[in-house]
Amino acid sequence: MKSRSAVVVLLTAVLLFFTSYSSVPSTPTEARAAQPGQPFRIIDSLEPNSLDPATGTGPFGTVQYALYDTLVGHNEKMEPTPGLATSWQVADDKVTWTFRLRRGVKFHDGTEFNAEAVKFTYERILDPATGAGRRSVYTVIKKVEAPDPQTVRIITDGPFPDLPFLLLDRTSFILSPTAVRKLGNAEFGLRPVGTGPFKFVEWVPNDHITLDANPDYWQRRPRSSRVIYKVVTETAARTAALRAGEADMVMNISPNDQNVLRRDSNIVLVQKDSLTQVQAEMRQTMPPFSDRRVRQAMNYAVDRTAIIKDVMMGLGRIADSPGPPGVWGSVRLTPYEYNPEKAKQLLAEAGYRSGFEGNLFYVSGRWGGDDQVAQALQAYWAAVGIKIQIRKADMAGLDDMLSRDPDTMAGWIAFPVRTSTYLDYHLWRLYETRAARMKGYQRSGYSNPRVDEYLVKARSTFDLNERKRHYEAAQKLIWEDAAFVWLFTRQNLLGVRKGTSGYEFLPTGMVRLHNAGK
Amino acid sequence: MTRHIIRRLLYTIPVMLVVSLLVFGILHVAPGDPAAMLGGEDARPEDVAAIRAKYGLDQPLYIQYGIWIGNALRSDLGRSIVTRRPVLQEVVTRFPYTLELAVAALVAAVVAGMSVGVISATRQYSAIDHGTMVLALLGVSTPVFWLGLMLIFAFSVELRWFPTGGVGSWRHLVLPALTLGAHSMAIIARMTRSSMLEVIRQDYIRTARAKGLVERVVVLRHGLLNALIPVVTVVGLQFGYLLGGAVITETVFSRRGLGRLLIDSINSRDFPTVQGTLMLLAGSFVLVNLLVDTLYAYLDPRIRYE
Repeated sequence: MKSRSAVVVLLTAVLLFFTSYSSVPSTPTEARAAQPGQPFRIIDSLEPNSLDPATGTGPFGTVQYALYDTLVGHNEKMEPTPGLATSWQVADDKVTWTFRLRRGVKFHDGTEFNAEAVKFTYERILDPATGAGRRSVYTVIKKVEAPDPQTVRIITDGPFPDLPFLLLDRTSFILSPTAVRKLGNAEFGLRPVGTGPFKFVEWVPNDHITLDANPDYWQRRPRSSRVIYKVVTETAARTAALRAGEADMVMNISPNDQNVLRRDSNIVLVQKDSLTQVQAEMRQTMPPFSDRRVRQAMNYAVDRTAIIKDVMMGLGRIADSPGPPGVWGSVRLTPYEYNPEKAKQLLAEAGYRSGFEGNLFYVSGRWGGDDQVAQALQAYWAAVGIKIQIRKADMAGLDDMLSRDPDTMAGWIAFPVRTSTYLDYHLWRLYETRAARMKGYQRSGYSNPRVDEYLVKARSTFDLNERKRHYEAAQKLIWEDAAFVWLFTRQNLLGVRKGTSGYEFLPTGMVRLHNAGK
Repeated sequence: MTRHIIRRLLYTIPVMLVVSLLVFGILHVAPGDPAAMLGGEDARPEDVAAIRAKYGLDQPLYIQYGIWIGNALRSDLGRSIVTRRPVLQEVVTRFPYTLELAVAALVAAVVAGMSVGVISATRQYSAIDHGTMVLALLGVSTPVFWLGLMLIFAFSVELRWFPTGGVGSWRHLVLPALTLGAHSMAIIARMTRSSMLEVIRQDYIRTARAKGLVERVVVLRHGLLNALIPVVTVVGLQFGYLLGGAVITETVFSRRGLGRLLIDSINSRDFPTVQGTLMLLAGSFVLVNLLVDTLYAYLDPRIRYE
């Protein structure tokens, strides 16, 4: 009996120890909130995996915009403006670009910003050992030279007029070479050092990231002295936090929550066109989707207006071109009308009078309304005889499906979202023959040699009018081909507490916080 | 007794080994390649191959498993493929938050569940009995997810008594603990009630009453104490359920914890983190079971472990 009690006491003590230990890491955030100057509190939907611009994935660029600057800046329309480079020009050979750098800029760790830092950053992206996700897009850069501290020369592999667009992307933020060398790649992503308006303070995983204003910033001093960035994955919980006044700004508001928030007089909702296209991408090297009439029929079978109104609660712009509206060179064409009769007729012509079966593959819960849109597609297609099974996956599963050879995936449709900041990137990766068959993300297998021709031409000239003509021709061809079933461009919803101002809500869905405050 | 516990502790070794094999196997059989995920949508095959080689994912499975188990025995669970943080650090810094939540939920469930159970049993077929048992039925059938959101809307958004989420003070713990504990509370209440109903019909209860003991002593010391054995079993099982069930609660309340870590790492096929998290959860489950078995012997001296 004695030993039994002893054991019970011991086990209870162990349990108690764990319980008491659990309350030890108490609340650093609350202690700080008492400091003068309230922090700016922002809530996003996804935890960053790393703040390293080269390897970080996911829609959390808001923190990165606060920490870093790019060589080429951009305005709210994503058009290039001076950034860490004050000016740039391309030589007559069309491949040598010279960038003049801003003087007197320092990284948060005191390192001087100069041509070496730029060279280091870009060469790091190109180094396969870094594992940069968008490395393949950067391979257009053949060489980076630093002839003097204030000059960077970039030599491209063939003419590449969109270089400034590439260098304003958030994967190209300039990093402190000293910090990367000192910390190593993995650790740098957890303790980042840039030149941006805010300095990194701490990151408590699954809880918050704290940033402090950079007093030596090369532009105006940031308005808020501290930014606290939290992640709340559950959409309803994000809305609740905004209504409870626990955040000044909440990103990725669900369309379903907009009515509740619009009724709340303390909250302002900002609605803005995104650069994100929602589209169903058929694997089309095999029947049935190799037949253009089938793809057209699937476009005619869907009532986009109803989907935008009833499922997206108005948060969408009907698709009227393969290119996203709002980027340079994207043309406006006639949207595919809702015409189920015409769809049936086209299917009959293609020999599918009694329809066929297929699969729709997507990641559920990635954006508000995705499940309902998928179900709507299923119903619209079923009405013209196409029986589609919905298959949900997680990101890893979708990735796996998309990396499979389209020749082995007859009847499969991927339903991803595509975000592009400039037209060449968007059209090339989705519709150029080699890119559309490349192992990885864009394996629809779409191919039209005439489209390829226009895309190559548009890439190799610097004359804006000429480029625009080529892009227009390419987009018209893709549209007539009904390469995909384009549905709509998403609109983003940002929720802010009344009195918050100065923020820049970008079409990428991210926010620049430099002048944000309340 | 001590020998029994040592033997049980030794049994955990093969159990954990089998768990590790299962976890490792299932993860690698599931479709999805962490390297492709890290590469993102513009990665070429050679980029993905480079990432795969960098993290040793190109090795045969048995070698990957061997390396992992070897390191794990030296308390090195590797680094997360996604965040590059050491897995041990990721798991250990989050475990206290999950444990804190599970313990708080269990305490709430036991205190409320047993009280309700005893009251119902002593007033069988009364309005209180029917009312509480209907509530218990609701507690079992209410989805955690929905309950959490309703509590947030009522107590955080409208009344502003408690924060909507996060970790920190006791105020952060109230709503998640109630949410997570509701299900167990209901089960414990029903279990206590039926066990009590059985016990209070026994002869020794009549004897106790005949001795002239006050009703409170009869019910609590002679009744409840003897009714506890099945209840303890349920409580023990519930604790394991609470540790694992914290996944949804932690997501709704954006709490740091193992549950969220597990979900995030499964979604990104972050093998080392999933393995580390599951091993810790499985280990806790085994230990809790051992604790419960030991408690039986304490509560009922007739039970002996030889």
